[in-house]
Amino acid sequence: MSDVVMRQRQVQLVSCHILTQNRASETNKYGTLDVSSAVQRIDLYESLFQNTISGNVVLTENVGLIELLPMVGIEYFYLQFIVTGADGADQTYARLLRITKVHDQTFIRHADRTYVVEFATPEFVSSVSTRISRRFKNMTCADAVKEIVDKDLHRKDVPKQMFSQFVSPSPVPTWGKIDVVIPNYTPLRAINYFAMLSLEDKDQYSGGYLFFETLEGLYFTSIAGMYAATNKIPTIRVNPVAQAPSDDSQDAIFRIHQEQTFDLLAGITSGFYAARVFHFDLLAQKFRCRGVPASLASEVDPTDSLYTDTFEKTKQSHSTPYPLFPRYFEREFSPNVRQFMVPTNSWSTANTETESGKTALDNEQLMHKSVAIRNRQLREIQQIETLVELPGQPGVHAGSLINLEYPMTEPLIEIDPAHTPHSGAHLVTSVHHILVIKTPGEFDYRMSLRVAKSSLNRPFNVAGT
Amino acid sequence: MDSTTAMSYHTGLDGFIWFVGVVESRATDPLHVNRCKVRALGFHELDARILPTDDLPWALPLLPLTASRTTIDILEGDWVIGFFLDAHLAQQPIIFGKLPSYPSDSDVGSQI
Repeated sequence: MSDVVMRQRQVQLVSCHILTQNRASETNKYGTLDVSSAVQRIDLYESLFQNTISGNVVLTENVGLIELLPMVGIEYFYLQFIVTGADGADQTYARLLRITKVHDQTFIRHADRTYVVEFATPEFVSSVSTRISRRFKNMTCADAVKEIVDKDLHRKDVPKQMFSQFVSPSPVPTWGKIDVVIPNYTPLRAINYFAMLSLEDKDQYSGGYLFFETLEGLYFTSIAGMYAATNKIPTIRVNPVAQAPSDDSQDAIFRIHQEQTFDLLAGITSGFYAARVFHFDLLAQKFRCRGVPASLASEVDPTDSLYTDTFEKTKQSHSTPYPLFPRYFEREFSPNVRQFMVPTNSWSTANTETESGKTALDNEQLMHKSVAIRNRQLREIQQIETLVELPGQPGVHAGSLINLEYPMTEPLIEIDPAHTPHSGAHLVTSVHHILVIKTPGEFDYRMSLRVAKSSLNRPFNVAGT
Repeated sequence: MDSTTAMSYHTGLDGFIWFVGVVESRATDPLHVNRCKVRALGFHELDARILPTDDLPWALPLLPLTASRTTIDILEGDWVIGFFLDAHLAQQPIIFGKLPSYPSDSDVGSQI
């Protein structure tokens, strides 16, 4: 288990420029204006459920940039800052962002004005400005996603190094070949469609792929893959029993708030506890029905969501008489509450008279049948949710794991209070980076995390690796 | 998340997404069930260099309850109305009727 201790962080703002074609010169397509001295606060948002990062900056100045630069929506914002990690190593973040909106201008004194500049990534602006209507044939979903990023999201008029690139090993390979005609979608919507179809290369019944961006870059990976990460992960400890005398990690936490540990009604209506997939073939006039989880199925599937299984494994370790996810709990609810009905695509572009066509069809059917499991996996990472506010920590981003240890001093039953059942590895589902000016050029850096309890591929009460 | 991920994935509950389209090919259906290649206006790129006829998804004709089980009367160039069985995913078009037309200038074709 890692013992990377949280400490207060400061950020050094290296560069904060506005790039505008209004100030172009003969040699430069964009003119630049340094606004570092005007920056009061920077907010950056990243989430597993948003394709790209977004944010805003609060500026205070007395030169009238909005009117005289002017800012009208064709400008870019270049941001670069350095954070020193707990190990003393500097981490530099740099990103080109497109200014999308200026609002809430207040004239605080007769000379000064303060306002908020919102920005999105150039990829996001490219996406809302573009449509795709073409065929993706005989390639994997991961290949299709990479093609869209390279061809459709990365604009030709902006140097490629200014765009966000995939962070290895993304795009994580997917199973099966697709044959799809994208019907006039935005590029990001097309990517989300392919994410929906994606199945893990090693486990064809496990989907749950997500395309998202962090300050590090772009990711296209599965939820199970994120939980299976084996790299060193930081610890956030608010459990006094587990606290070492020299450990100051507790003092560094601003706030911890467990938002929910389960939601019965949302679980029932969303199909988390029990669902059913009807998969029908119009031409053959046949259908098959499959229950999720597998204990509801009339046929036995090779794998199911690992959520229940993981809870099962932990019954002996902390609360044998009172398991956190009771066996056959799902049988209390009718799977008809949440049904999925998906047609085969036998009249699509696949030529089913050929062997390759039949294989393509089988693959495609499997992709569509996985919709219920994907739905369940997405719901799983919203079951045990906690908000944590802490000093900015380089390396912690949406999709990474942290160890979170909750306090408990007088447990109801006999367990090891140093490792309570909810403690352990959590998946960071969203991050709000907050940079507030301290002295000119120096910013206090804190972050607000939304984390979900690890419940896939990792014992429930074991804190990381 | 966008509308693709917000879908219920239940045929019939994700809306009735209908289209007007042009029949571009009807001769090569490997299943011999009278499927056509239909370019759905607004959904499929009009430039055939970007989206050739062969790349269009097969559209299955919906037959009337009172007519023959096998014959349909559709020609290349006919304008048809249909819907997508898979709603917003738009991979599975079904056509249920063709539109009447009158002779017009020959150069007024697929692009107005």
